[in-house]
Amino acid sequence: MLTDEQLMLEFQRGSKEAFTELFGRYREPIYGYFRRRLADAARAEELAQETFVAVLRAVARYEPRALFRTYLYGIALLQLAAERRRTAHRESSLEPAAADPPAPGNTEAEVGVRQALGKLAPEDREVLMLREYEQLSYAEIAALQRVPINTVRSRLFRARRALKELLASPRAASGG
Amino acid sequence: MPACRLEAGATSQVDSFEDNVMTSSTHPIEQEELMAYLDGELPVERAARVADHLEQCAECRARAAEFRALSERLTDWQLEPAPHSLTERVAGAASVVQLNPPATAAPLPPQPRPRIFGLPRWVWATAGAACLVLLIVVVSVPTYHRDRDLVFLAPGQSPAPGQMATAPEPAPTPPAAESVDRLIGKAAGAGGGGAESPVVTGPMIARTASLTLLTRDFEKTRAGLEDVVRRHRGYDAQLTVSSESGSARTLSASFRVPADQLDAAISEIKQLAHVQQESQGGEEVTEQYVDLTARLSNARRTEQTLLDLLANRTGKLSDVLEVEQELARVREEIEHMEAELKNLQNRVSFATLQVELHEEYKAELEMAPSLGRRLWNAVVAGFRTAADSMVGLALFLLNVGPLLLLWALILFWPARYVWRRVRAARARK
Repeated sequence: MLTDEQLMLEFQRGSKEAFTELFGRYREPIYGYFRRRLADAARAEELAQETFVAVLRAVARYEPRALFRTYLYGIALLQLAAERRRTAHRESSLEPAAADPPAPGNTEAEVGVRQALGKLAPEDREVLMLREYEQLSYAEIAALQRVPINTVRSRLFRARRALKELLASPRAASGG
Repeated sequence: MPACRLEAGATSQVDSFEDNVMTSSTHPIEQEELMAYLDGELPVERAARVADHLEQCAECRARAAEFRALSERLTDWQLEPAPHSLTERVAGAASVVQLNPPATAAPLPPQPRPRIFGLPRWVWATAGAACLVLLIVVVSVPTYHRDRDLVFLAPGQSPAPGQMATAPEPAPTPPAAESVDRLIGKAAGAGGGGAESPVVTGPMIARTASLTLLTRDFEKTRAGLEDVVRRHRGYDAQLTVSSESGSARTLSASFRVPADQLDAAISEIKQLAHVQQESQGGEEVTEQYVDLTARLSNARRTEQTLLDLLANRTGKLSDVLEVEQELARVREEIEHMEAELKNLQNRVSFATLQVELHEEYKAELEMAPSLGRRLWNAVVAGFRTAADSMVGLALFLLNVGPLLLLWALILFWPARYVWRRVRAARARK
């Protein structure tokens, strides 16, 4: 199986199938990335599309300097940041998806998780989500956020601890 | 099993901190490290030690289970799959993307431009154009500004001793009255009859003639000219020779020949060279002459009267002085008039002949200029045309330039805006 970088190079050389394969690998993760961080599903789809289109546009210049994954999520992060700037003056709340009213498909557990996540500090939440949902490594997260790996680690620990307590608080604190 | 000293139910930050710190003597693993181990982010050796410890430490195993449970919880937040429209749109974008041709995945380094003798081609092109322009200018400018070297010869030929017909002086008439003024007045009144000069037999004409000649043999023609003039008892009043650098010389002379010899002289001169232009004229000076002679005789009579006054009447000294002053004035007048009269007579008796002699320009000397000459003329003309066209172009640019510049500036920003929009629209497709 070819790596992401090899697929990109194949695509650069003209293989449309390589891109199709690559897209297949990252369609759900990228869509999920936006879907979990934006309230508007349609907007999340548009941004996901924009992310892939940006990769398409830049294919001629692509050089496998870093992991493709980092490259791709870097583009996604920029798209998200731009979107947040655009909506900053329109919406006061930046909490991702946590403000959504429970949709019919949402289970109570899901709502609980989302609400708890919403209460985390933004950078902690972001690190946690990148770890748990996007499954990025500490190094990848550090590269994306431009922070040292130790910072990633401590933020992640803090986030997990806080989340555990948030999720545990409706119930009586159990003894340790 | 060593006890893991972990605080239970800690919620505050401080407690969490204490929760994390373990005394090295009892517990070698920190919670954060445990988390990293579970995430698979520990280096191999460290991970092995943590794994070993986990086998032995129930508390840490419990902690690990908590971490895992948390991750499990987070998966409650499930999303629907990406909509099919996303796939379609991205596929559509992928189908139109421009890919590099396989051979050149990376942008080629700029090809070294072909160089000639180490210098890029544009340098040679510019140098060649500059040389051509310089050549045109150098060849053409001299034909625009030709300095004429003037060579002055001494108007040297002393007038040939032509016999001058001189008019005899008019005889003074005897004086009349008593006081100076009355005398003068009377003398003036009595003047009028001027049958003095025996030369005035008919109308007096001061003749002039002008000839322009073209010759191939400059020196020979010139010598011939002077000879003719001399033989007809004339002389040259002024002679100038000018010579343009290189070839054609021009002689410009003013001859005086006796009036009755003028026609003969002219016809002889006309045989010397090719006549380009000829003209003759005469100015009638009879009236001037008559008038002059009358005034002269008046003045002479006045003079005589005054002289008689001085001789006969010896009055007061002041009177004598007055008379003498008047006498001096009258004499001066007489001299002027005599000179004018002489001049007039001279003009009548000697005609003025203006001659211009041109040497044939070398290019015209041979009726059929040589091929080389014609080629050279063509070259010169060609360069001049080129120079003229350059000047014309420069003038045109100067005329039109400011206007074009003005409109270019006015239209620049709108045009750039439109161009960018077009480009962006094209890029989006």
